[in-house]
This record gives sequence, C-alpha cells and structure tokens, in this order.
Amino acid sequence: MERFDYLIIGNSVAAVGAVEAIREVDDRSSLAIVCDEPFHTYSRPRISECLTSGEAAERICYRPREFYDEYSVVPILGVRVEHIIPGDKAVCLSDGRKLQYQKLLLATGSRPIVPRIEGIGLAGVHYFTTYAHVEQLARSLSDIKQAVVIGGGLIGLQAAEALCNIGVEVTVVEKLDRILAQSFDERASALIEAQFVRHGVSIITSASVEAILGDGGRVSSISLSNNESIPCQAVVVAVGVTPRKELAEEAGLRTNRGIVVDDFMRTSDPDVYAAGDVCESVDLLTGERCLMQIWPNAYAEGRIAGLNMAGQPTRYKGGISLNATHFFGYPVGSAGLIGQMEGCLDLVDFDESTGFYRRIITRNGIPIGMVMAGDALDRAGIITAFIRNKTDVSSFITELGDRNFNIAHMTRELRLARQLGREM
Amino acid sequence: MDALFAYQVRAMRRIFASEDVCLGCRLCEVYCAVRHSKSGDIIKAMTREVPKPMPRIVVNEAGPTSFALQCRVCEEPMCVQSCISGAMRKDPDGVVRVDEERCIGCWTCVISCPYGAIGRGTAERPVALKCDMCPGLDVPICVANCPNEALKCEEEDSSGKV
Repeated sequence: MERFDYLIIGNSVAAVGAVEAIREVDDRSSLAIVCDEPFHTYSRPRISECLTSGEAAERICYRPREFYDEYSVVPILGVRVEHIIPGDKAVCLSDGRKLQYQKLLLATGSRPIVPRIEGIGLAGVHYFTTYAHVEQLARSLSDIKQAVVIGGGLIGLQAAEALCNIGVEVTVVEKLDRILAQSFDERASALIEAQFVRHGVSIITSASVEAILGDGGRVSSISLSNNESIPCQAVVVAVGVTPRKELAEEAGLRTNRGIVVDDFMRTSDPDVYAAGDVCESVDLLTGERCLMQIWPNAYAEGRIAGLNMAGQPTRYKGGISLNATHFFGYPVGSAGLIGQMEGCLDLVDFDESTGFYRRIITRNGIPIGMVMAGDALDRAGIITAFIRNKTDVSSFITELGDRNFNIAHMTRELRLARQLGREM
Repeated sequence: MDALFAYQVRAMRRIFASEDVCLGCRLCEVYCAVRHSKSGDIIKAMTREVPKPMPRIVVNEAGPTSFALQCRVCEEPMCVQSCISGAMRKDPDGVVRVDEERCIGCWTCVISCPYGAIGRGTAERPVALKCDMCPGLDVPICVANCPNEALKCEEEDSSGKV
C-alpha cells in the first residue's frame, strides 16, 4: 500500500494553499494530491473563457506547469476517492488502490445544486462550475440560438455574459427580486443589471422555472411560474453550490451544511483537516461558522490547514465575504456585511452618469462592509483591511466617505503602526 | 499591532517613504511610469505611447501630508493569496510581482491589498499595476530620483531591524 505523509483530496485553490504552506515548513515529507478531475490545477472563476477558446485551458492554469515538481507533490489526477477510512488512516481510490496517510486534507470543494424541476435531466441542460461543464456546453454551441440561465448569482451571470458575447440570445431567470442578492446590495445589483440589459440580455426577477420542456429528449423551452414560456436550446442551471461532503459524512466525521472544522481547520478526526468550499469556517464579523464559498478565503483556509498539518499550530482568525469581478468591463466589488442593518452609518458616493458607486457601511465607528462599482474600486483594499481589523475610523470618518480617501487621510499613528514609513 | 499587519517582510528590501520630507512633487511617479514604458524616454512615453505608461508608486495626499506609496512587500501577501488567476506571485527574491499576461483585471488584489498599493491599469490595458522593485537596477528609480531624499530602500534582518 502506498503511503504519503500528507494526502490532499482536491486540486483547486484550497489544495494549492495547503501545498504551499506545507512546503514552507516541511520540504522533505511525501505529499500527494488526489483529484477526480484529470487537469492541472485551474482557476474555476475563469472557466467561461474556455467557452470559445480551446487554448484558454492552458491560460486558466492556476499555477505554472512545473508546480507539482517544484513543490514535490505527487499528482494523482483523474482518479476518484471512493471512501476515506480515518480509523485506518487510509483512503480507497476508484482505480482499486488504497493509500495511507499521516495527515489528510479534504479540499473537495462544492458541486452545483440540482433543483427539482421537471425536465432537469433533458439533454441540453448544463451546469457551469467545472472545465468539463464548459467543454460540454462549448460542444453544443452551434445548435444554440437561445439560452436560459436559471439563477442570477455570480456563476449564472458569468455564464450569461459568456453566452451573450458569442451571440446567443440569453434570458436570466432569478427567483429573488434582484440578481446578485448574495453578493451585492440593491444599487449594485441594479447597476449590473443595467449592463446586462444594455448588452441585450433579458433578466427576469421574482420568477421561478416551473418546468424545462423538451422535444425528442432535448431542451426546447422553459415555462415560468407565471405561465410565460421561453423557447431555448440550452439551459444553464446556476442555482447555487453545495459542499462535496459525502466522503466525510460516510466516514462519520462531523458535518453540518459543510464539514465542521475548528480554528485549526481540523475535523472531528485529529488527523483529518478540511478547507475551502467544503467546510464551514468562522465569519470574522459575525463570529459564526458558515459556508464561505469565496476564492481568497479558500486559499487562506488551505494555508492554515497546511501549516497545522505540518506541525506549525496556526489559528484561523476567520474570513469575510469578498467579491471582485467585472461584467462587460464594468468592475464591481464587495466585502463584509452589506445588508441593511440597525445602527449602521452608510457613507455613500454615487454618480449615476458614470456608474461610480462607493458605499462603506460602518457600525460604532468601525467599517463592517463595503460595495464598490466602477472607479470606486481604487484603493478599496484599504477599507477591506479596516473591516478585517475592526479599525476605529471615527477620527477620519468624514474623509473616509470621500472618494479620494487614501492613506494620507489616516492618522499618523495608524500609518506608522502599519510600518508605512519611518520617522526620519 | 493589528494582526493583519504582522505580515511584514523579513530580510527583504523595501522602500520606505517619509511623509515629513515628501514634497508631493510626484517626480517618483513620473520616473516610475517612464521606467515601465515601452520607450523608456520621457517625451515619447508621455506624448505617444498607448496605453499610457502608468506609475506603480502613487503619492497619497491629504492637505499638507503627502506620502509616496508602493507595494510593501508583505511576508504573507494578501494579493498573492487572493489572486484568482495566479498572476500575482512572490518571486524567489521575495518581491511580489504580477504577470501582466496572466492578469485578468478582476481587481481581487486591489480589494485585498491593505495599503491600496495596487493600481487598476488603464482602459486599454486593465491589468494590475504593481511596484516590481525595478529589477535590473541597484536602486529603484523612484528612490534614486527623489529630489528631497524622501524615499529610502532598506533591508531588514530577521529581527525586523534595519
């Protein structure tokens, strides 16, 4: 039986974070990655680039080709883990092999939620979270004139934009009363919706798909809850993702919506860790454990897991919600808590004519969230750091609300504390 | 010190600015932009090049206070950890650099850098703008050309002392 000191299940951002952390501490022990996808580690948010370009697959690699060699990782790709047996410290692979480990990391990520809609199994129904999904969609493009995207979240809209850019007539159907309700506030949702509408995408909110209808086993239309029917040759389902926690559940590890971990990213088994989309970790702002399906947080969690696995005890302080992307060239970003909350002071700068939107939410003089669109993104990281550090900004809160806010508006003490210079 | 700002470099060169001495003249920005231009010539760079050459050091100004800010070369860089594409990397010399060919302009780094030290490029070339510590020069061009010596390039040892 093959034996590895460190074994990682998963090959995306949390796994990479763990690999890089382990090798910082321990460059000798054996380390292997097992992943059911046969590909070199790639950047999932970029898969829409692969819709029209075969070469994009190379472009979206998340780390250089030499990564596994450079970090002395044995990549076991295109192989599924069928079971984990924490009692034996072993995992069983789909190719019949059994691998032993000293420390195991579950970085299995999440998979698309399959809604219970009539016709969900028809040919022409697609998902949009993996390279294979996009490859499959790309193969049927020549038959697609009209497409319906179910779900107006980040993934659904990325799919909608990609399809729109190649001339497909796209309709997005969103259950809630606005798109991007999980990631942005009402105004940003409206600004982004305007971008889509300007580019010819139809957006229907407060509506759900009753059924996907077919003709000869292939998608031909969808019908909405209001009885409206939309003809289409493809449906992209993007109604959310759910943690791939089956291995942990079967092995009796503690799970909730995701795999439950402590501040050291350890599961209920001391030699098994979890990180990324699959686990529930601490939200820095609420103090609660929840799913934080955010790319930078997945890296951070992978890193913390790796440090702990390698014997360097490191506590994860928690993450915040964080999003930054662009739609049709229009940049948008958000961080922290952005809903309407009691006892909060909003600093808002909005210019409809330029699409400049800058909103910082503060509570008791401490920033807790922000939403930015257009040029408001400049230097936004300064605010993110205030949110993460719970910095009291009362003494410069007026300046903070100004779009030209920069580090010179911070107090001198704060600048020096951040080693932003020297007393010369 | 805030937990986040424990990510400070050890035994690496960084540029330090003094707000007491900075004139706010922005010559550092000009030299930086020209250094990172195609022609390397100030007149060609400023008048003809498209995209317009952009500085990676930016003077942050508030009333009488001015402070030239660039990448702090963090030991655990938030930008590298957050980068969606893997374009942002810490090189073997410890300097954090962006591979402009890989950058997709998502601005996750911009929204992650605690110093706001990463710029957003231009409309023609929307890639992360980032100080690269002038590889190939003994002294970064901004440090070498500050008329009031407000910029210093220094190395710290592992105890955090210069």
